[in-house]
Amino acid sequence: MTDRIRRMIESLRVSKYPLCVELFRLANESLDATRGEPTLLRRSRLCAHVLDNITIFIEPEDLLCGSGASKPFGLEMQYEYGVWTRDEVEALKSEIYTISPEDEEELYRLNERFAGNDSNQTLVEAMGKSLGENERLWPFMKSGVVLPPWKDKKGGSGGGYAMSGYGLGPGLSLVCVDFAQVLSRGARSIIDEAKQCLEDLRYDAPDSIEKRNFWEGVVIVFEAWIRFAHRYADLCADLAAKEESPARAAELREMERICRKVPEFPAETFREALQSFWFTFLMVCPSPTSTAGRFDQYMYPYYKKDVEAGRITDAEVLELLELVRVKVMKLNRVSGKANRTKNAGMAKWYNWTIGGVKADGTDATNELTYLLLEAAKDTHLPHHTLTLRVHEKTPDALMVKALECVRSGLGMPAFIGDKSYINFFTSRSDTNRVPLEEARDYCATGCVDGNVQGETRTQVAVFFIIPHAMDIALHDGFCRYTGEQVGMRVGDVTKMTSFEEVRDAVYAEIRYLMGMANERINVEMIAEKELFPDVFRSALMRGGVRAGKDMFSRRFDFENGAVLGAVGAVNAGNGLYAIKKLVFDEKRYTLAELMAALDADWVGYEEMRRDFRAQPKYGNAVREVDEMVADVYRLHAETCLSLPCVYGDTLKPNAISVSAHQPGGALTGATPDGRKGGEILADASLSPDHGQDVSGPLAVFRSAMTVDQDAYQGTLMNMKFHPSVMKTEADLIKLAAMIRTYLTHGGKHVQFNVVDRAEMEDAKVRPAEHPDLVVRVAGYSAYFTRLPASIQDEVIERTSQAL
Amino acid sequence: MSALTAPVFEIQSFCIHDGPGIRSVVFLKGCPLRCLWCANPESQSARPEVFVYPEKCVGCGICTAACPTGAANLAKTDRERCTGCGACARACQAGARVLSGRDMTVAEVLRKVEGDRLFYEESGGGITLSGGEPLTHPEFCAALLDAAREAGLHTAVESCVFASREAVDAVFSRADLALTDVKHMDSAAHERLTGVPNETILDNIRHIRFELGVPVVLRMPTVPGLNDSEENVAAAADFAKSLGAPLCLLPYHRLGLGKLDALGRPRGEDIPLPDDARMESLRALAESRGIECRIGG
Repeated sequence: MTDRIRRMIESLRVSKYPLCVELFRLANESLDATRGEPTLLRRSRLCAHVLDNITIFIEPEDLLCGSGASKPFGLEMQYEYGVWTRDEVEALKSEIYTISPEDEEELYRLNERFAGNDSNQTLVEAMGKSLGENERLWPFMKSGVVLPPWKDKKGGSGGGYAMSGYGLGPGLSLVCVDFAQVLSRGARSIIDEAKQCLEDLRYDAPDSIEKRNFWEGVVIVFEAWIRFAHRYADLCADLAAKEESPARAAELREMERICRKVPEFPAETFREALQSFWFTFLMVCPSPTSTAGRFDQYMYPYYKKDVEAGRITDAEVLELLELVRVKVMKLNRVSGKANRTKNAGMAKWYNWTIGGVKADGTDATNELTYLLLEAAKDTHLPHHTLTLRVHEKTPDALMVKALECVRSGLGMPAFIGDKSYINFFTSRSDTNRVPLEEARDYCATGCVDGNVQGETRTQVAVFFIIPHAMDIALHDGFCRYTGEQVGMRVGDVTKMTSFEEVRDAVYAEIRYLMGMANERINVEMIAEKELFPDVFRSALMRGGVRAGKDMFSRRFDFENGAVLGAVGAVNAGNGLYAIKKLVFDEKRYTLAELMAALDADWVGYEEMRRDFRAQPKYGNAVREVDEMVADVYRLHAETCLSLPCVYGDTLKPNAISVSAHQPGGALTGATPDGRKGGEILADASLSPDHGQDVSGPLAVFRSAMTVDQDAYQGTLMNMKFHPSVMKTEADLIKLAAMIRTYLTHGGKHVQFNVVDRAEMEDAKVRPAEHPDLVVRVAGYSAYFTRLPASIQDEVIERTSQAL
Repeated sequence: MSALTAPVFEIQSFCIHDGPGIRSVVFLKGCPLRCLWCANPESQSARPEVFVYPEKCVGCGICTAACPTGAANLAKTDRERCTGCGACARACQAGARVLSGRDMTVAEVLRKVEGDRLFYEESGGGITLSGGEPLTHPEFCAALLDAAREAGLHTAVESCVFASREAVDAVFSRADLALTDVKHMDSAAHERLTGVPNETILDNIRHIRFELGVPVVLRMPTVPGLNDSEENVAAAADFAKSLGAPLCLLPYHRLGLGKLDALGRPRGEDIPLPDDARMESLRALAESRGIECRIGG
């Protein structure tokens, strides 16, 4: 690591992140000035106004221009989701955020002015009208079957967003723009294309004016973007003139040169391409799910040309890649209180996808793939995320490098399977697919949600709590807490006489509630389409300029517009299996007894609970129960694929719970798998429920392989390993084979954490929470919790040394 | 398929230190050696045995009621009277009593092992028989190895090879790899540490390598103060060289001590753990004799 990077990493240790109001103020100014204009143009002018006026700065030793906010480490308050109320801001201040008194006062003034100027212009308000003020949907919104539960009819889920980046919001779009296009043609050529489109425009279709607005917007935004880069060039020139160190002055002059060239014109060197990339990324990263896509692929031509010409060394490239990590660390986001639990605090998913196959199906690994892993390992910074695409021919050396990175305690990269992802885009439907060569250019957006670079996008992702829906079914459509009817009446479960009858009732209810979830999604999509067009990222989709439409209004070859995330399918499947076994096969309990036990949260039914808990559980390669879980997933996937999506085609299934299994569990009563009410649900989506996999990792994979994952945009499998399985290169090669087996046989994703000292200490004290923790040596393996305390200490001691 | 059974105390999936690739290890009960440092003391007897974990006992007395011989009494067990029938373990709801070992058929074992087939194929792994000492059950092992080979699995056997030539032939003629242990190169020392001399063992290893033609990996637990002298490691290295085999030095560990407690047996004398530097210097010494030497399996 260079001294520059070391110092920059040191500078990351700050205790508070400043909330900034500049972007909100500029947005308000612009919206004031553009009242009455079409939304596409208003939004474009707003973006340009921000780019022309927001405070810019260059931090000491930085080599890349562009930061995410008007202050270092800053988060700009976003207005698009909803305004920031006092109690929300107070809550933030009690955490790791700070706001100057003047800014705080201004924020409240801006809130009022905004509300007065642009009534009904926030997403929350638009959704409240359709969902909160609807008798049929309101009990559903309140129930929390989709997170978060609404607290009041108008306010929706409440809270806003604050984040870094200069482009237009709102939050969580899952999209990877076509970075290669910016690098290779430059903004000037995009503007020229838009101007040509305007010249060629004939008013001969209902969308002719929409297109005109779009193209005018493209010219406005991309011109402003070029000016933005030139502002940095001027700042570099100023700083260089004042700089005492000749070496730093030279760096600044080079940065000045680059900012005068890109993003306006095509990049020709690696440094130019990187600056052009970074400016682009800042324009899309107000969405914390913004992705850099296949960075090792589109940056490679510039790398190769420079290395061959002797213009750059691997050490210099590594420093730049590490610098990018430092800069991404400074991009932050935070949402309102309710969303903070759902999405785990400052969670951000700036994802770089590496490896995989090229368009022709051959291995795409190159030097940058390795250098990106090295940069992560070397800096040991948790952001940006790396996701490694794995296929049959992924080199062992790359897998080993990736696992070394995992072993260092970073928990990344995540490993994802090309086969299942590509199948998602190519094999499910004749009317909604992309050609194989294009599907091979997919990347992970957000967490591990699949999208093809510049070809597909996802705007709304909502979590659906399956065990909660199942509970509503078991209560004949009523929510056991509110006593209100939420879903459809499926009959009194205690009178049902066969397992199939019970299962069909539960499935019917889940289908019905998923239909409501889809309505909620569609309402959000319609509102976002009307409120938040964004010409920048829309132009950077493939064929984006010529299409003349915002990406929300454009029908893509593969419509991936909205996904519904299955949460707790494992609990539901385990529960159904326990019902089948204990109530119908063995007849040890009646449904009436079970309902009484569930309603009592198992209190007074401890022995019965033990029996329900003791039934085989998903994650141990027990076919009957695995198939039950797989069937719940099939139901979820098939239902999604039958529900219309307003952007085109249907809703798509997803199974990425992020951390929704925690709040989802908190809302869900006792379940027939023996879980108590309020307890957390199974982690991720294909991980077994907590502590219920006691048959080793391969059994977990085999259980997961019974689920048809190809239908899913993404699935999650989190796994933990004791460091004793990651000691030597030979160990890592075997782990690589294990990962490859899963990911070439239907698996989509797996991510590893190395068990650390803290976890082993915890296992000592709370053995019941860690029954699956295994220590492995040749000819021997032991469950950690079965070891005597003194030996546990010894293992902890020696393990920590080995790391 | 054969109706033979043998007492199995564990089938461990995802083993990565017991032969090439990812493997399942089948641990069989019964062993002719009594190594001072034994990590799997429950493997010594071929009979099922009960592990007792007093800290988990809730004192309900259900075990005492269930025990047909009057051996089980809450957290205590009269080992003389215990027949290893497992009635107490089945009754115990607190997890304080766990039965180790149950007779399994070849088909049962194979069914369990075959589930992981995809992972063996990708990694070049397979099945490893271990123990205890698998040669305690030669007919069962032979039948299991035949069945495994028929199913296309790579086969390995971990063994101390203290057994009759017939048993060795029956088992190792069906193995793709022999993971053979030697505990000490000096026979008298070997007997002191394990209860048996080493001549038969060394002979059997040579027989496996040269007459049966099975590739051998020579393994030696490295136990400080007992067999970790430079002289002994050098001798083991020379023996490995004569076999054309790599040598694995397996560092002594104490993970088995808890099992002794749970079996109600006394712990032996305290043995220190080998430190990493010592292991590395022994590895270097072995390599200096012209062989490949690894630490660990």
